[in-house]
Amino acid sequence: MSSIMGSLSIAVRAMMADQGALQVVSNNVANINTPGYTRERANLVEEPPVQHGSPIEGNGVTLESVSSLRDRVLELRLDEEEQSKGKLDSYMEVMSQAQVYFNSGSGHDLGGVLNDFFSSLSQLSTDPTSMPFRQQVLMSAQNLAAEVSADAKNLTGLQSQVDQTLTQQVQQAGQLLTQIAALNRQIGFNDSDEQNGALIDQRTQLIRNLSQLMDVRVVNNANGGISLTTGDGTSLIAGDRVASLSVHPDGDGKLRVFVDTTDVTDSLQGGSIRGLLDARDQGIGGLLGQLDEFAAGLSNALNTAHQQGYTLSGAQGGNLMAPQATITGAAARMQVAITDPADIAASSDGSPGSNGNLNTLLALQNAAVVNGRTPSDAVADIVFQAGSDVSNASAELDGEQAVLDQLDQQRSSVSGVSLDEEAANMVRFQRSYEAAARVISIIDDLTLTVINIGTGGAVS
Amino acid sequence: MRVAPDQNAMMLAALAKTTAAENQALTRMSTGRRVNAPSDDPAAAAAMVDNDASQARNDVYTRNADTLQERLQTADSTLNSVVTALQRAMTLGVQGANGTLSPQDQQAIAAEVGGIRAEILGLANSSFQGSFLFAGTNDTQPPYIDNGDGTVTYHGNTATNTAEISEGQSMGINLPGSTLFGAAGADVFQALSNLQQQLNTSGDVASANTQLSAAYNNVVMQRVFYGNAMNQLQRTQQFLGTEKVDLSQQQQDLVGADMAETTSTLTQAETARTALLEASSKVSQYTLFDFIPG
Repeated sequence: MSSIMGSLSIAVRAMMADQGALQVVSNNVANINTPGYTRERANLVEEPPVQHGSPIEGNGVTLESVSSLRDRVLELRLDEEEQSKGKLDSYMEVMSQAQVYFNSGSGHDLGGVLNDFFSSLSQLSTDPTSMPFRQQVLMSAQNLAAEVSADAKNLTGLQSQVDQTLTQQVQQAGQLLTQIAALNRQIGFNDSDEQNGALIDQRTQLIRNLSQLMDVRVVNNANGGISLTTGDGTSLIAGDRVASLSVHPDGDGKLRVFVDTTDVTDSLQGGSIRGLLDARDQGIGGLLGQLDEFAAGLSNALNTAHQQGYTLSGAQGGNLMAPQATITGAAARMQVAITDPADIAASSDGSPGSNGNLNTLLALQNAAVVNGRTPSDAVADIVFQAGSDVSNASAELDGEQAVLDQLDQQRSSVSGVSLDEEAANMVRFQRSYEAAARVISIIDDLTLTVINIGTGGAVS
Repeated sequence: MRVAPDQNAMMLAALAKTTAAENQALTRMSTGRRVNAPSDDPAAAAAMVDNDASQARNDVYTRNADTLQERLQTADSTLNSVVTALQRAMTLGVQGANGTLSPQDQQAIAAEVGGIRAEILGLANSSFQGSFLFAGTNDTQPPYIDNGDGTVTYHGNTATNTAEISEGQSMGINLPGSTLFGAAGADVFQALSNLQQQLNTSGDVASANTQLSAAYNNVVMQRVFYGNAMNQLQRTQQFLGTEKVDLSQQQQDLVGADMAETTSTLTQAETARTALLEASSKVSQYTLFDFIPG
């Protein structure tokens, strides 16, 4: 048996459901620009029917739940791509600064000072007794040594800047972990999907931010919670336990990254922290190594040649450069060993006008004195290294960016808020709300009719 | 599949790309270089190190050639004076050998020969920018000292210098006095002293003349060295000039910007950017909300 009151309650439920749905629309529109927001959908379902006698009657609508439209696999892929991009970004940023020191035609021109030095020797060979020419050789040797050691010091300085950034980023990652763990707990406590939708959005966004810094793997647990590990499985968040991130200097004063007590410096695979470590150790470290080889090879070869000759006063030549016993750190130590231009051993026989030994020194231009390469080729290798470090990373970054853009589009197609869609929904729910209200007003009329049955005076 | 509703992100990424292309073209135009940092083209930047080195060597060879040319010129013209003086001495020797001359006349000629000897001694001690031209490599002091008894002492040495005048090409740049003036059997000062002495004593002037002409022939022969050296240097200077042009062409090919290409790149980037901006101002201007009557 149907009843007027039954119809009334169906209409009231319909209005409540429509209000709820309009609230979802309003929330979607409000969050259109919120990073990490996933659009929500009002899930309207039929109320279970009631049976009064033979006909089964519908019992109206109810707003059963609100669900977020999220593609979990896509979110995981986005995390991974953010890790690759973070790594390339930070690597490229550091190495772009490093290559400045090897840009020919700039203030820093290793090849230029090397050429000036050999040119001054060549000039002196036309008049070995000329003091101005000798002074020129001494000065250009000093410039060469100063440029090499300045380059080495600048690169070392860049390494310690990287360490500072590293410290900040590790701290930042630690804070993100704490926030993620807190959200994780809240999500575990909540039963309502509406609240969880917002919290999961936040957590997803924080994991995205963390992915820019370091590599994380997400493991979804049964109750909506997650566990986080690094790429190689070192636990970051497990249940209520949050690992603490820290940096500690090693023997050389370079910072290493720790998760609790585990050294993950070598095992981290992505994120800007990996990029910074790569730039510091492989990128800049490699350039410094080449610079050291250059300084040691050239200094020692110049000394060997210089000692074969005789100074202006006819004395046996000494060291032209400070001798380099070890390769490591040679570039920073490079300096000229003589101060008196007369001590340049130009002569090959002790007579002041002989230029024989200058020719020996000049021949070093084409001699394999730096690990099997001529000095100039060694400089060319350094320039190539510095340039290709950046250009390779830049090319990879372009590719990575394209992938990320595409994934973002995909994410947006699943989770992004469309104003057209929301407007259409709004009209839809508004109309049905109005219709339900109209139903109530009709029922009101009906009720009135019933109340006024058999009475003289009309209640209106 | 649902269409991704946010067009702004795509638009911004595309705008960033055209801006980057514009910036790159502008940098290339303002510097005239395609490679402005090693990362723009690492291989070309590395090749430029070698090109820079070759250009630096070309510059110093060119400068050195000027210095050397002056030095050789000075030595050659000095030797020219020596040759002229020796010719006069030989003429005097022939006059003095004439048997009809009185001893007084012969002594007068001897005095004149003595003057020539002093003149050549001065020439042999010539210097260029503080270094003595005919002292071998012991060139910080005058090579010839007159002992006052008709003999001279040579303080120079017999060493010579070679200088690299272009990539892989060296040449000798001096002759020691011992080769020029003191060769065995052709010693200039000994020949002049002997002629002077034979004239003074009316001795064997004829054989003194033979000795002098041997010394003269030696100087003339050795002087050819300087002429050759100057010729060689001149050819090298020409070569260095051509090489310089080649090297800067090579530099242009390696790192220079192709202006025509750069200009068209800039225009393309500008056009693309303008089109994008226009499109983005039209797209996403309205949503359905705008058409729902409030």
